[in-house]
Amino acid sequence: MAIDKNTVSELAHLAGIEIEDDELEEVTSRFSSLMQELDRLKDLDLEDIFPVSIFPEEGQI
Amino acid sequence: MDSTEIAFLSATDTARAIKTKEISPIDAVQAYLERIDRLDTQLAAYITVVREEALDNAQRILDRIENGEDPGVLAGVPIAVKDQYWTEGIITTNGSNVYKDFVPTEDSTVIKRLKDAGSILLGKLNLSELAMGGTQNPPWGIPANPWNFACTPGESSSGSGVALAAHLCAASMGEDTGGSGRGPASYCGVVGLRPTFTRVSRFGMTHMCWFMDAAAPMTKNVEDCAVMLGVIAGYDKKDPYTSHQPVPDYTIHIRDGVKGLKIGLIKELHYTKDMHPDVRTAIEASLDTFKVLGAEVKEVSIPLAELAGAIFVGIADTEGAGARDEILRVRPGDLDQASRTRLQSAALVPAKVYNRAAKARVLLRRQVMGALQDVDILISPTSPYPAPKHTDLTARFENEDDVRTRFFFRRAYTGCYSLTGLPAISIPGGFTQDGLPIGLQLGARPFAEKTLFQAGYSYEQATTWHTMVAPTMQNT
Repeated sequence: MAIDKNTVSELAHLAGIEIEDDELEEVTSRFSSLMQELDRLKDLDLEDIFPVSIFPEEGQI
Repeated sequence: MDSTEIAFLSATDTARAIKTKEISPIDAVQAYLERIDRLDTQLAAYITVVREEALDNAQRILDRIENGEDPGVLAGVPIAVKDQYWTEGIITTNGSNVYKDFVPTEDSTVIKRLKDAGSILLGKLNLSELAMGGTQNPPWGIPANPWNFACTPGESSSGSGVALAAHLCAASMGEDTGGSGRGPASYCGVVGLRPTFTRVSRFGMTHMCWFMDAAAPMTKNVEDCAVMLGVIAGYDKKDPYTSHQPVPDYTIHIRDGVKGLKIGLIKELHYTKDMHPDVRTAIEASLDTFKVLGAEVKEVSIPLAELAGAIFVGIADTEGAGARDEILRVRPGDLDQASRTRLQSAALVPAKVYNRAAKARVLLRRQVMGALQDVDILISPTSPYPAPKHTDLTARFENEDDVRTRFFFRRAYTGCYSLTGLPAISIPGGFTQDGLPIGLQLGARPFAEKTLFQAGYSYEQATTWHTMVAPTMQNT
């Protein structure tokens, strides 16, 4: 998924975050890379899994 | 014993020497203060040194010993802690200009327990801003790796790694969210432990990611680490998520050896094209050592391990951006450029993507626990490569591939345990041909820290890596 600077600018605006012009490219690189990496999780079967904040001391989830 | 000999002692040897009155707590504190004065301008390990308080406390410990009291297992041992732990009346900067005037009104639980055990705080140690890593212009200087000043000591507990490798304290506390304790331990040739998630109180430890932050003892050897964990572990009513499980004496079985233990090499973290060849060689040599010591070595598979870096960043950075929301909106200019852009990018992650990462974390836990049904210990390098140059670490990212290589890849190695709440230890595991330390990472089941200490100590006794002195520290 290609993410360009305009997309990042728009997202940042909606999130209420101000990104300096000279840092927009770096934020775009970081965000795009993060989204690409996390995109690799799409193929996992996560249907029966519920997120937890802390794992219980005994027993499996 | 002269002051250099004192400073080069381990924490447990310092405690023994004080107990037998071979040295006094004042001798120990003065030995380190003298080294800090002489060497730390170049190393930038310390942000704050509490000279008078340390000497006063050394006198108090000495008085108690002379009165026949037992001031504790760390009586008179000079320690220093990452400047992320609250210390009553002492500035706690979190490595950031945002907190440059923050003076806590009480000690963190870890600090309180270390003081109760008789240790003496020398000062607060440098770190990457907000314990994140990648800081370009640290306000209190760029910590230098004693093994090569041009290289990073690792992040974010950089000062802790430097202070130990340069013998500027006898033991230290780092903090480990995604490897911030184990990473610097690896790059600096010392020991760093990430305990089971609920094992140690986090009260008074400034948070990066609530789900994963962990107090991390960092020491000169494995025995010191076992002692430190015994002091700081245990339930704390100020951190209701700490475990009620009793705290064992972690040193009792430390000399039991590894005969009969099963050790599993994580395939997905070993057969990767980007691993430094010297690191691969060191890991394979360590397997031979464990076999000679009587352990059974096999390969195990954790398919999601290679994605642990991405899962970690997806959760931890997003959490971190949420926790720093006010700073990001109101005073982003007070943050370092790298911290700011990292948090800004994480703040844009969609909820469904975060949720997917949170689910993947649970799946990873299942896979790691599955592997730990077959073996007692998991093994991998702590980092797939040795300490990078400062310039490589702080350079702006060129493109997405650059981010992937420099940012996600390494984090998979330590992220596996951060994400799953399991204990892991980094111990010295060799050197590259260029003379940089290589960290060996051992992981285990929940609350099986004693197994880590047992295996780590056994390996340590069979090798000499932990006895090596950084070239820049020889004759100092």
